[in-house]
Amino acid sequence: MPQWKGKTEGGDANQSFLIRLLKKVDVRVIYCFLPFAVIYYLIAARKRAGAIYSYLRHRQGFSVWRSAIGTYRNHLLFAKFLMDRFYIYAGHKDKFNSASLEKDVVVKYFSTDKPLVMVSAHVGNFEISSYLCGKLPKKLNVLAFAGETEQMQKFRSSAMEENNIEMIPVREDMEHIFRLNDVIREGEAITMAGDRVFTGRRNHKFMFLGKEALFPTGIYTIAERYKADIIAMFVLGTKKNFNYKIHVEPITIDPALKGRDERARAYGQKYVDILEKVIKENPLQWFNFYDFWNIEGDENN
Amino acid sequence: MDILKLKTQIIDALNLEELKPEDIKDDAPLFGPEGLGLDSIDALELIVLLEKNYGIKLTDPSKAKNVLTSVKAIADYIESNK
Repeated sequence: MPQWKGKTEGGDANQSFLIRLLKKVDVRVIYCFLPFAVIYYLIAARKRAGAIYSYLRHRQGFSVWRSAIGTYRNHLLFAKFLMDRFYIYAGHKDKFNSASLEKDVVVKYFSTDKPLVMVSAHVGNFEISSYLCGKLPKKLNVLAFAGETEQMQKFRSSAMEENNIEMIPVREDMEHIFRLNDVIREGEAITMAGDRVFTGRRNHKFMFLGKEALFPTGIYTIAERYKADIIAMFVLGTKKNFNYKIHVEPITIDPALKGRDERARAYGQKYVDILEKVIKENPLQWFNFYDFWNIEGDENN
Repeated sequence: MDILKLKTQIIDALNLEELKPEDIKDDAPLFGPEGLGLDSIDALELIVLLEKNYGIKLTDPSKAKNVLTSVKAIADYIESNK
């Protein structure tokens, strides 16, 4: 099964240096260096680049040339979005914006007494959503792999604190399960990526961009247990610097559908449909840098 | 402690339709590939089951790790917390 290590590139020292730099230097200056850094990165990490090329060529149906250029532009966008995140960690969150109407829709979901399960993906720049909507009416708990460096987690936590957001690191032990149980029972919101499979029996195959891929469905079982609202949410970059577009859509299924597993699958299918629509409109903002469709985890696939 | 009843409750809570109570060995590991292969969401369901059916609230993750190892371990924990 394909897996991601759950870690942002660069060690503690580099990340700290970047934040110190961005406290003093406008991020647009850093943007100027990214095209060169990306070329180096494409050569050094060919396997990652190959996964994106294959996705554009075979799943999006791009020509050879368009896929090659698209691979470069995808990496460039990823680097730019990463820099935006570091710019926020450096204290510039007020510079970022999105349409107020989209923000209002999100805030509306956070204003009910019901728990909220927000399913995202490795598409666009989801973390930015945490800062775009201001202080949320209820706490948002972000479930994420615990692979990040301690430094990176500190940066995030400190940037998120005033927006009423908390990280719940997913570890091998059961601590995150207890936290999850507590927060959702309190009617808080949780978010996790709907395109990252965990080990276990709650992953199902869905047709995605013309080929079967694995997606987790456990999150929907939890949401149903606590009668939570379920929404898909993606934050997509626009052509303007510091501007993002929020795509938010409820994940709903036929209420008459019976069977817990069947219902979880139906939610999964709805999520995959929404994700496919979003990624077809924004093909370069797909940031799963491995062969996402390699279900068996075959290295040669 | 009626271990057969506990197994039935586990099968029902985790939606393990393909299993019968007698298929689950008392001391077989619940998690991991050698046992039933349960995952973290199953752990959450087991925590809820203990609370709902036995009034036992598991709040300490390290304790839970020891309790949710096998059906026998869960049964022993229920028995000692009656």
